Amino acid sequence: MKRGAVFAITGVLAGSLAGVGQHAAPPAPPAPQPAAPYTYQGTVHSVQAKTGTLELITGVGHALRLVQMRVPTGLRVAGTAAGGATVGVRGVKPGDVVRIVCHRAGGSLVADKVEKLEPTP
Amino acid sequence: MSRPGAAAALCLAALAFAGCRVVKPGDPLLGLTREQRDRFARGRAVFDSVFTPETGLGPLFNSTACGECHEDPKSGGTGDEVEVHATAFRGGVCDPLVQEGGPVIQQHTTPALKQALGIDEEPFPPSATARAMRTTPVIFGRGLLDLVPDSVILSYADPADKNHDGISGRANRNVDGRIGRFGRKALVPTLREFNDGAFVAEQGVTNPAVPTEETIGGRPIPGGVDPAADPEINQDQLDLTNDFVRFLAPPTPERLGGEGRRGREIFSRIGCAACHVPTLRTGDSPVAALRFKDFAAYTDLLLHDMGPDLADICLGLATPAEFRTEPLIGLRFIKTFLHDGRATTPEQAIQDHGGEGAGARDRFKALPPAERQALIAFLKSL
Repeated sequence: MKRGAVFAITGVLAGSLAGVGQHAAPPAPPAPQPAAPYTYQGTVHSVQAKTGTLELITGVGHALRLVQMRVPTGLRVAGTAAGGATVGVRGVKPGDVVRIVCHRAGGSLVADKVEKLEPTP
Repeated sequence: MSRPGAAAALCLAALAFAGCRVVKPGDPLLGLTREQRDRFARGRAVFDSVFTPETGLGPLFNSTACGECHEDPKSGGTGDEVEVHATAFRGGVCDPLVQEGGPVIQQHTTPALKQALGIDEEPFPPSATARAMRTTPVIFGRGLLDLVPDSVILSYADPADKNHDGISGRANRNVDGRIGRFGRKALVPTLREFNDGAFVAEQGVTNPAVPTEETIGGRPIPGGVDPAADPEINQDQLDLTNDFVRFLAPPTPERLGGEGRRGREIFSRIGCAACHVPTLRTGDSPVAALRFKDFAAYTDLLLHDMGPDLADICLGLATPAEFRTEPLIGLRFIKTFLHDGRATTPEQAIQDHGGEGAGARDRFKALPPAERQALIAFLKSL
């Protein structure tokens, strides 16, 4: 796995709006842009069940970083070992290695997909 | 053929193939292309660059240049700097204390940060359960270690000690689950990641791989103390530095006399070679000089329990007492030994081994003086 997988941004921010001519007809409202997805893979540091948030340890080399994100209630956590799934932030615990796809909303990260990873091999 | 015997034969074969060229410390690998040698030279210039706050240093740092620590006898060598790491080990789980500035606790601040916060170093994490001192290792031959396949590392692991030799050995895992191999606790999977992270953790120099500064004890850097825009070096500078480090050759060991040859046999006989595996082989690589090479590594890149006297911090899966087997490449250039420099001679370092190393240590201590001396002569040739 390349280093980018540790702290990978798998999408790019939406481009800026195109300029419009001074005398052109009013432009149609821009189509809603999908929020750029981010993928983080790291170790769960803490879980706050009350707020549905977790902190993830990621980083490169010895330069480790904490990433905070919200896990929506009802989001299923895929677990590779049991093959089953548990719901919400309660599905993970500190020390678990996870891959999380999330998006930025209102200045914070919101998880779209949480997958618990088993050590390989 | 025994492992050490095979290693000696390989070394001789390598020397013959290379036209008996002696590789000095700081030299590039033999067999690099002209373009790769050019990148090695340009990368060394970045490695030796001294950063200032205006060019990216700090605001927290341990050193102003890679080559300030890795300087003896040449760039890529050792140095006398000792740094501080801290983590917390509770209930069998390791917390690297990122929220309090861990695991690397920088020992210097730029003048602007000192003026803003009145500190000379990063505050020691209040939640830490241990402090670790870390010396500067030589980094010769790390490009070869980087290319040893994970499957080879795992082939030496015996976490349950199924063969009952008193030596277990297990791989550490990075925070993202991959097998680690670099660093005294083997947390870091690849050489590139180690270097990318070191720019920030050691010098406070942000780069495209790590574009954010370290926190100060977990708190953001105050405004106005970091004049350089992030990232503070570009991808080209980062790539050149990585090429310099991965192309650094292992220095040719000194020629062994009869005593040294006996010492090499004793090294194997008393069990040192069970962890300090004499020869490893790299896997595939686009760089011919690194591809499928047998080299004298003297490590298995695994964690071993070294006993309570050496224990300090946890990191990843590594418990406080577990350390990665130190590669003995370039051992003759080291002035202090073990992870924290507590030993001033190789003999003392052996005697400080505990845990899984206790058996070999005791066999060493039971050797007649001449055999002990022979073993030390061998080690000092590396």
